[in-house]
Amino acid sequence: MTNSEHILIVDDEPELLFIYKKKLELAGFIVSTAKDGVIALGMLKTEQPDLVLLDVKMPVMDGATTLKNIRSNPLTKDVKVVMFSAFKDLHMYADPEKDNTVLGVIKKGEDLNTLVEQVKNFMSSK
Amino acid sequence: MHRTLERQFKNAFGDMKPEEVSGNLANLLKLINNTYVHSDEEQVLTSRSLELSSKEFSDLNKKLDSEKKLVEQKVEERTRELKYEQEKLNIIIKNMRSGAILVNLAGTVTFVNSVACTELSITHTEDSLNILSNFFPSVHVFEFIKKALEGEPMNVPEVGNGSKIFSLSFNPLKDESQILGVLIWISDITERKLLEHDQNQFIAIASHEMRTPLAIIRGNAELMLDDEVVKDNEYLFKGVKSILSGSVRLLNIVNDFIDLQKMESGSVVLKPVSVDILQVLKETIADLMNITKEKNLHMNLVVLSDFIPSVYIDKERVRQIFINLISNAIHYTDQGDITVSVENSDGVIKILFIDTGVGMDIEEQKHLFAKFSTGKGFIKSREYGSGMGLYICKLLSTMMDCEVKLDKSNIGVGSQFSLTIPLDKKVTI
Repeated sequence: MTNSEHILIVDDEPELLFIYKKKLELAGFIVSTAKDGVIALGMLKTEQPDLVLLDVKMPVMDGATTLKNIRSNPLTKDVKVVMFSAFKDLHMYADPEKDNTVLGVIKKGEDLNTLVEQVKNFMSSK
Repeated sequence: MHRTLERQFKNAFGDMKPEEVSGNLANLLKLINNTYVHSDEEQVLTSRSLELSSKEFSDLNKKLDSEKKLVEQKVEERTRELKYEQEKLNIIIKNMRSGAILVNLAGTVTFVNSVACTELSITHTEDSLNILSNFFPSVHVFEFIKKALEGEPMNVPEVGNGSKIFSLSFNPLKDESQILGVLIWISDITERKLLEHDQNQFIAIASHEMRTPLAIIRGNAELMLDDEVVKDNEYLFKGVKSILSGSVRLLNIVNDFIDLQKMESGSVVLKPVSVDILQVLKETIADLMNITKEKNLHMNLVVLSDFIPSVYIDKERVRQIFINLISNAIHYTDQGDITVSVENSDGVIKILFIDTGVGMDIEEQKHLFAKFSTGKGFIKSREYGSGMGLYICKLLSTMMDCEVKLDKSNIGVGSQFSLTIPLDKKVTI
């Protein structure tokens, strides 16, 4: 399956970044990666991804602050963002029901096929 | 002639000989003589008898004396034993790490050990209960004593005072038929609690640190299984698959540890929302369909009521209980069916999880919901997951005012678990 949709994954674990990138590329997505929020914001100046998969807990700049910066920039304010977290009590960090600028949450730790399915679902949502 | 009669005869008749007397006097003399002789014999007998009585009396006296000595000896021995027992008790009480206060039926303190005196700064026994009550303001000391005197033991597993943590227990003192008083134990559990906290911290940190490397192992194994080279090589495929299943298993254990630590430390925040229970059940069953098919099992969802109302509950936590119970059913069933039934009746939503699996014996059932169960159950549960799944289910259901339990189980026949969700959580529109 080929897919020209572009995803930016922001996560501080380089090895996990590699795995997610590879799997999503195999699923036909174009994938770029950033290891923290600052790098992601820099990349968003030149790239217009269809979806940003944003880790919640990161050094340098965490997910919530990165999201705030994305929304405050007119160039990036409308980009689709999905939070990405290993925490079960995710609402303590980011709550899509309270923050309507977040499209949803993908729980880390599921299998990669589930990740692909979830990304596809978010892609096809408005 | 009897010597007394002879003397009297001589006094009366002078030189006359008794043989010289005749007729009636001679007969009289004979009779008197017989009387004297008879009397003498009687006297001898009496004297002998007295002699005998006196001997018996003396023997008896001797016997009594020796018995008395024996009794005295025994009393001395028993006193020594009692003293020893008392000493022993004193030593135990003195060296006891817990404080003890003894209250009689009238509610008066009759004994306070040295630990209690030191811990609570008690100087006068009679002030003990007021001091105890002031020391632990959150504990209803007098109410608990009253309850204990009525036969109901009261426990305070954990109560803080400044930098120390204590546990208190109010135990009714009973003999066979009646309550005699209350014994209050005061134990300093600060050290134990600190150790527990350190252990939990260690587990939490270790688990967190393990999660990312395990996710990396798992992710790479998943990627490799997509690779044609691996797919075409049976040895590689099997090996990578087992790396994947091992890492998933380990990740689940680590996640259980992290979850448990959060629950036990009270840092789990529930997020109740309106939840369609039937929908969550369907989703969970769909998620677990792969492993159900792998084991060639049949999964049935039976809806026994026309309408299953939505309830106000933490969706993810309910899902977690469903996953645990259904995964267990799948894991412990080698052939047959897993049936999940849902019913709305008597003010509750009742969900049954029925399997045709290995079942459990009574002993195993006893420890089923324990944190670290012992014996067979422990060994068995260790074979699958962390062995904490049901304990987590229990904690979660309690947190959400639900009830999870094992309804029945028979070796070789299967088990039935149930989750009851009260309908007071029903969402009213």
